[in-house]
Amino acid sequence: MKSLQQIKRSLWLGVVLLLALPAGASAHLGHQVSHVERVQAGPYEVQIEFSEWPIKAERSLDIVFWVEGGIEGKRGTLRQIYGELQSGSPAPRRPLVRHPRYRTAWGLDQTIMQREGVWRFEFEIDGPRGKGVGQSPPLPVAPRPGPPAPLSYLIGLLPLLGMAGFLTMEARRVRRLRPTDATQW
Amino acid sequence: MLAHTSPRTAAAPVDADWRESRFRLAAGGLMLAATLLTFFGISWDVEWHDKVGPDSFWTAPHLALYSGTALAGLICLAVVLITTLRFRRGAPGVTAANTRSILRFFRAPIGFVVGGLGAAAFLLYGGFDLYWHSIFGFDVTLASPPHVGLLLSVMASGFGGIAVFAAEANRARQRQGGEAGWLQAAGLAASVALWMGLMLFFLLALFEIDFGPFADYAVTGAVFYPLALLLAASLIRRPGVATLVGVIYTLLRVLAWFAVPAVTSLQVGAEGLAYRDFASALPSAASFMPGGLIAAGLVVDGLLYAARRRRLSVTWSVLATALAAGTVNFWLFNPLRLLVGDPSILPERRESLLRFIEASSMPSLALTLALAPLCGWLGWRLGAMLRHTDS
Repeated sequence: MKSLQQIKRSLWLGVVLLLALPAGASAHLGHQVSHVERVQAGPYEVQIEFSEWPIKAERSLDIVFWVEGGIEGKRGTLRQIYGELQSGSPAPRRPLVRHPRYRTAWGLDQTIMQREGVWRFEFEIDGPRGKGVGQSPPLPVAPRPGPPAPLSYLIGLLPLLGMAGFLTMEARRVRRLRPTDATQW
Repeated sequence: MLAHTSPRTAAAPVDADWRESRFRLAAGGLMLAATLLTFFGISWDVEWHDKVGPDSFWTAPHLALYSGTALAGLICLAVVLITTLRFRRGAPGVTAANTRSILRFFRAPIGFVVGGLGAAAFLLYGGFDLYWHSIFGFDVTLASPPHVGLLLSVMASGFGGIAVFAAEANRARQRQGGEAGWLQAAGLAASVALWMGLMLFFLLALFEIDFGPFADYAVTGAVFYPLALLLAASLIRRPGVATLVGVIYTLLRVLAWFAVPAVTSLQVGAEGLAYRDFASALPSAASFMPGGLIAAGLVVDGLLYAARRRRLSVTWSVLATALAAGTVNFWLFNPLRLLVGDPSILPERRESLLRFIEASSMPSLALTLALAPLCGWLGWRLGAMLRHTDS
């Protein structure tokens, strides 16, 4: 026969667990590392951690770039190269910024790979040991999951249909009254 | 239905009608408060996603925005049920003349029906969003299909709010003659301003589209803001209504500008997280809310008043007024220029923004001059139509 105290304690534990579960689902206290790739950018070794593997097109994931020796005193840029293009191609170069949850590493926080196919990450790092450039091995991106995009957007646009229906109904009702409010003060 | 003979189809006696109006105005006011919570919640969510990032379905901003819509939906449901009950009981203020028949069973003012359906759709799209996250992970874009559904639903619900106050303004005109009083005008102005606030997020989603040489905010600015201002000015033909819309909208902007980043900062601290590097210091949503809407409202009221005094052609006056309002808004609203002045952003981004501002100025102005009159005129006609919604 449980005492009232014990019952209260169990209830509080239940409440705490209930609140803790969604927090756990958010995974922002540390992502799981599903896959690692290593890149040698001149004198710097970069370890790329992916929160998901295989990568699926348009599905968001976390990518963290751990640089050997830390990122203090270093600057870097990244190019995401699609397909079999050479490194002289016009893929835009963007500066590497800290991952918000791993402040001693660079990263792409909640990013997506737009297209299925093969991608490569090209790093250019400038630091105490000079400049270095390196490309990752090919990173395969699987097809986009989920329902077809056109159908999904059609579902999303349904409220417009509803509003159009409502306005048409009102317009018909009002037309019968033959009002002149639009053309008279 | 024979029990509901001529006294029920005739207009209610004035006292009872006014009592019914007070009930609807109060319910409409509560709906606006709930919608304000949704507006705040979505602004907060946009800020969070833009500056911080990690997400689950059960974050505080989500709680705020879903609660707001759920509350608004419950209020609408309550009004529909109460009005149906009172109609069937033969209450003096509720007649066939001031309610609509819904699905042959319910009786309610149409504004609450639209508002309630919009809120219900919002909650359904919330379910779609939950499903979408299970496939695509955390949000990367505002313009995902479930988000589009959510934003359009909340706008539909907001439009229901406009219909509530429009109907009350129309009923006040019928009761007392002349134009509606300031109570109805204030409610109407607030509902239009809130609708414009909610519209902001749909516009932000539209920015994912590439508008070529035109600045995205200018395209949406030329279309939606003249439409909303002229809608209000047409619905209640009292000089000052458009300005009141501008004032209330500006209050919403102030709220979003200061309160949202403050609350986000508290949340970041409480959860032990950090802002993204190079996140803008500007509030993500509020910086895209036009700052010159009071000026635009004054222009609308002033020009329409002068045109009416001189008995000028309504159509030409509305076109000219919308053109003027659209142009004023264009000159006073440049969120990209705000961003350029923000020291926190990446230098590369600043440079590309400056180049784009320069290139898009003339095309955007030209587009504004072309679209604003058309959309303002559309808003005027929409308002004229809604002047006959009295149930």
